[in-house]
Amino acid sequence: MVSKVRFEAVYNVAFALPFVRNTMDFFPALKEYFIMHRIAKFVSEKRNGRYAWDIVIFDGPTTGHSLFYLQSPKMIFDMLKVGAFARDARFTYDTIVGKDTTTFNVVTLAEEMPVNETVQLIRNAKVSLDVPLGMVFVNMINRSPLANGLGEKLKQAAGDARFRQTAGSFLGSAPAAEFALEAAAFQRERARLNQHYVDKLLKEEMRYLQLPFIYSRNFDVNTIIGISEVIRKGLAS
Amino acid sequence: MRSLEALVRRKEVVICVGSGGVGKTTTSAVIALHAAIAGKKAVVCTIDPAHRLADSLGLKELVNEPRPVPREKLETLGFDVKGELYAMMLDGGKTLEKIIRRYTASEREADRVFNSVIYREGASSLIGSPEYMAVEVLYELTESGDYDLVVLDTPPAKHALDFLTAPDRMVNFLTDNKLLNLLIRPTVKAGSFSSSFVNWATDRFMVILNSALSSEFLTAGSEFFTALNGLYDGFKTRAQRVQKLFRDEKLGFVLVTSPNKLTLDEAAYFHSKLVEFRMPFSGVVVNKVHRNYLKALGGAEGPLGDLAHGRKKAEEVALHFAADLKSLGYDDLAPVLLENFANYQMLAEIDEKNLERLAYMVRGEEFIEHVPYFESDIHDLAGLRRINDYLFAPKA
Repeated sequence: MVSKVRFEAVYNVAFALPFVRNTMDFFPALKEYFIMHRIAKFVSEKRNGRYAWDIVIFDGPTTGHSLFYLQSPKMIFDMLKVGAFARDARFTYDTIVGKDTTTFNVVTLAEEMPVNETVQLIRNAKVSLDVPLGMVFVNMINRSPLANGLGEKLKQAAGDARFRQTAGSFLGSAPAAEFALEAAAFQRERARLNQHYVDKLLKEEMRYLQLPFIYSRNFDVNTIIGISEVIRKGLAS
Repeated sequence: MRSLEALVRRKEVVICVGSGGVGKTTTSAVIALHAAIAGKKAVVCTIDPAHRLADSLGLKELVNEPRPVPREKLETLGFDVKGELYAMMLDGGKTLEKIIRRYTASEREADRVFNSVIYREGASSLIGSPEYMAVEVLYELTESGDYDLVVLDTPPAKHALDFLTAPDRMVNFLTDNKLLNLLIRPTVKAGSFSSSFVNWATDRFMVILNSALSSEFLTAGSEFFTALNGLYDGFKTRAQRVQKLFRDEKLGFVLVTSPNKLTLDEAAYFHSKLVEFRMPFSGVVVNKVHRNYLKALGGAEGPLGDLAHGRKKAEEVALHFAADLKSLGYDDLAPVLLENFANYQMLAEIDEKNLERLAYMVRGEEFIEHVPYFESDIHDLAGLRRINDYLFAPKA
């Protein structure tokens, strides 16, 4: 009986056919859906009567596309309504999307495009997604090195010939002093822009965790430990 | 293609690809702007729904049709514009609707498509996805013959790859697709899908398909694809033309990236795909490059070099610097200036190392242009001019 054919077998037989592959390739949501289905399999996988994994973390696609992934199971079962494929999509939805054990977290940068996309994503997710929203991690935030009035002092120094002469003399040349001033002004302005975009983000009602830019020549395990420590402290507070 | 200048002079179509947030839209606008300055009639098409391009060009908004950028706006910045500049923003849904209205036999036929369950439940957003509609728009803009240069800003890298393969996927789907043929058979159109299906039950796949998708969906699918039936040849022909265009020397792909390792990795992957697909790769624009100050100073000697390369302790250098500045009242600036410089220089040197990898990847005739990391974002024509001056500076 057709109804007894196991669904994975259906996939295997069907996918071997070129015209099925062409059809799959043509419809963008199908690829996204199958990735979500794979995640659902991880979540529901059991070994010796227990769930195989305590937590499954899905490092999703770029911001603009992530909602599409999470919406794909619902999009498919809404369209198909009945049949094995619809049931499968329903399983995927029930396992990861429509479930309060899942949280949808956003990682972004405090820059124009990522922040605009994140704001849009949060707004869309609140309206159209059944996944509980978790946190927004704002990564690589530059803090101005010129806090507590030092910014004004820098401006003053930049216009002071005596400062330039003394600094140039110590640093080895007039251009060296110029570059030190220029690098500081750059950093101050980027930090100001970062703050501007963080402020824009904070207008959206969400839980946020701000992570500093970490200066490191190599992105190695120590860097990861450093970041995870900041996250741990941030979550604890 | 040794320079962007040569690219603008020789190409008729430029497609900018790269990761998100690296300045693709701005680079696309600058390339089109430069073509207009040089006397060409250029159009830039973005798929970025943010208002950045409109803002940069001093326009209130961009729509799904090319709109001229007023010459006087450009001339106020001192641009001597000999040609014309147009801009548009791709709207996938509207483009699909326009195509359906244009190519269906009647208004009634078009309404049949729009009213079908499949279209309403999501097919419009799938078939109308940016990559497919970008193919259609690219076809329209190039075939119209209205423009000397068409500049297309694409979705971020992964989806730009979807864009590159979009014509192939469209052609494959529409060529001898048994599923499509099945769905638009007269027996199915007559609404007797289930019974006709039983007649074909010897075909194993069709049995499986009926189980997987349900006969209700297949009937709805049949109505939808039948309503679209008159459009397939057109879709296919246009996709084939764009397939050919993607390999034509009158087109050039420009990779836009930043010196960040992850975005460079994506750029390298994309470059390998262009080579694999035999598509004309013209060069790379690297935005947001930190200036290597020590290099500009002629070497890493002196206190700044000592500090940046860890030859002396930061506290020790700062102490001496502060002592020199104390009489002027700037001693508290000393540690901050030095630490900041060391951090900045580290980023510049990381950029440089990453860019060496890029130079190794691009070893042919292609250009690599660097644009500095500016202290502020680019939001207006003055910003475009600033980038233009870097990208199109006369080469030694």
